[in-house]
Amino acid sequence: MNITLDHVTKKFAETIAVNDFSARLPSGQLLCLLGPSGCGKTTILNMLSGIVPVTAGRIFFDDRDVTELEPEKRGIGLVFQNYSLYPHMSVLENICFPLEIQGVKKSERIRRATELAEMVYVDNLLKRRPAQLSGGQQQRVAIARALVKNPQLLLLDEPLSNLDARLRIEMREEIRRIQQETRVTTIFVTHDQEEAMSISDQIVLMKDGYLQQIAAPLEIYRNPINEFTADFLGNPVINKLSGVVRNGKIRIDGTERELALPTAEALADGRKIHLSIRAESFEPSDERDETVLIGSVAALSVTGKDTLANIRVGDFDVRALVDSDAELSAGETVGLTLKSRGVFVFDAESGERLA
Amino acid sequence: MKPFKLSTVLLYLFLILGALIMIFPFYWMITGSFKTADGINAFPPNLIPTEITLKNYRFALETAPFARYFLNSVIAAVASVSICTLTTILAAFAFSRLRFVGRVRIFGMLLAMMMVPFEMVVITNYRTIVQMGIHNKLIALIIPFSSSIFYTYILKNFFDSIPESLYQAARVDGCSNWRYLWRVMVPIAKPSLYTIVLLNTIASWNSFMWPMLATNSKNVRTLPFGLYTFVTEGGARNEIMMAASTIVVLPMIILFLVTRKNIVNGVARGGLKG
Repeated sequence: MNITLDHVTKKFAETIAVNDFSARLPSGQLLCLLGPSGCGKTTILNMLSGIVPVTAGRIFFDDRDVTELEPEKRGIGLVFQNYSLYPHMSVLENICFPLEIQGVKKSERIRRATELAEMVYVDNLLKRRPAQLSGGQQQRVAIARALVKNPQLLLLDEPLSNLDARLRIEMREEIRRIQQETRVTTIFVTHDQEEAMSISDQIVLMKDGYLQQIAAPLEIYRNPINEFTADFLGNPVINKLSGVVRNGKIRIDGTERELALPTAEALADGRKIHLSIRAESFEPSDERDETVLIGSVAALSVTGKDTLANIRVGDFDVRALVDSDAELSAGETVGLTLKSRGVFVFDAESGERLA
Repeated sequence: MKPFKLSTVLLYLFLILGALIMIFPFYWMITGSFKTADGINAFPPNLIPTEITLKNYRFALETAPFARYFLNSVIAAVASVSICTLTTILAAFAFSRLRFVGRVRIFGMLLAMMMVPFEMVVITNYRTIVQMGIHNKLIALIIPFSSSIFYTYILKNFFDSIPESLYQAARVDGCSNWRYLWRVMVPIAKPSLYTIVLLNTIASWNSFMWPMLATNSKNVRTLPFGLYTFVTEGGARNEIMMAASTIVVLPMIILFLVTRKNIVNGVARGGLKG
């Protein structure tokens, strides 16, 4: 099911949680709504489910305008952050409950619930109460309950945030597997960029109620639309060096020389910019010409194939992920050339992408 | 064997003493009801009855219609408790989950009314039932107790503690408010409801002042007031009073013993995960 949000806005008293949000989300994919806490991603999810009414704008499921439609008529399954299983019902009763409300015959309910339980691997726990399950098992039951009525759209609100680190990785792969088996359009809210990168087909990145960018994980990583997007995705965090444009070259604060960057040649003289460079976009070099950044190695930590080097460039500490074969040592002065991928120039004020 | 710590021994002695103080009046009442007139008035008192007789019970049941009182008490208690529990559940749900104009203000007013002691409205209530023409009828013992602000307040607080996301989960599945209340809220609130029903039953069973005002014939009297008239009319014969008191109190003791486990279980299992 294609989902279209058309200039959707949500105001709570004085605060605007979602601001003029327009997007078309393609059918059958696993989509991540990503952004820092308070950016409005859960609000979008709740508006899609119908729990929270929109202040302005329209929501369409395919061609159907569902803006005013009651939650139960939207054909969605919802998984809450705290799972929200009914504590007095067994696992089987929990999964059956949506069907019970629809008036499905008891034998049919049990057949479908058992089928779903098998898919999420909780079929051996059907008689247990939620309190007798681990967090991961509760999560599986919650997903089964959301899927049992064959929804057109599955919504998951921070489904992994209550799990410990190992379970989190296990469950995110599970969610991916279940989504691929069912092919149901799935929207997944998270503030964890790694989670979003690893499982989603498309990332919808938000900040302060505004949509920033919608793209596939690798695309959004390689081609961020603005500084926030570049900062938010990637681990280690992208290096940010502020500087000024001088004659089509960049003077980084605290350095005495200009850096020639082919993509920055057209920038106006005196413009304040941020030069953002991913940790893996450096290459040690013996050259000392204008295309090379010069810094001194402050610390090194070998992780195996790669070495994470802390390098002081001008006023900034740069983290560079370099091949362990490049023999660096602490205190040494080093030249770094920049790869063409993973180097961006943003306006220092607006964060707008310049190059 | 590990030697007991002195503090533990003292603590248990203290607890045993407290338990004895609580239990002794009941013990004295029940054993006394089986004693003869000589036995109960003996000095020094006999803790264990020397001669056991059922005559006291027979006498009490013959001179006053205790069976009728008993039935009246049961009818009044069952009716007022079930109606009150129903109204409490509905009101608590409305105040806890439904959004309507003046919700907070109305609830505040109700709470303020809890400050007015029952004794102050007794005359008003009395006039009301006289005007309604139900004075000296059993229903007069039921209608004034068909709702309770206090129990509504307790249950509303419990309902408030049930996560809102359960309600939303049910709503997304198409569950109506009515169904959500009975299928989810009430089962989860069972421990609270047990407590409310038990407290309410005891209060109804023991109520004295209102039945005294609202009834004046033997046919509609309840046990506590019946016991009172029995004592004043029949003169103070200790062993028979003990028998009559036992008839009055025993059902409540049994009720407590039967439901006690549910209440304790409820408190122990009350938590919601997540």
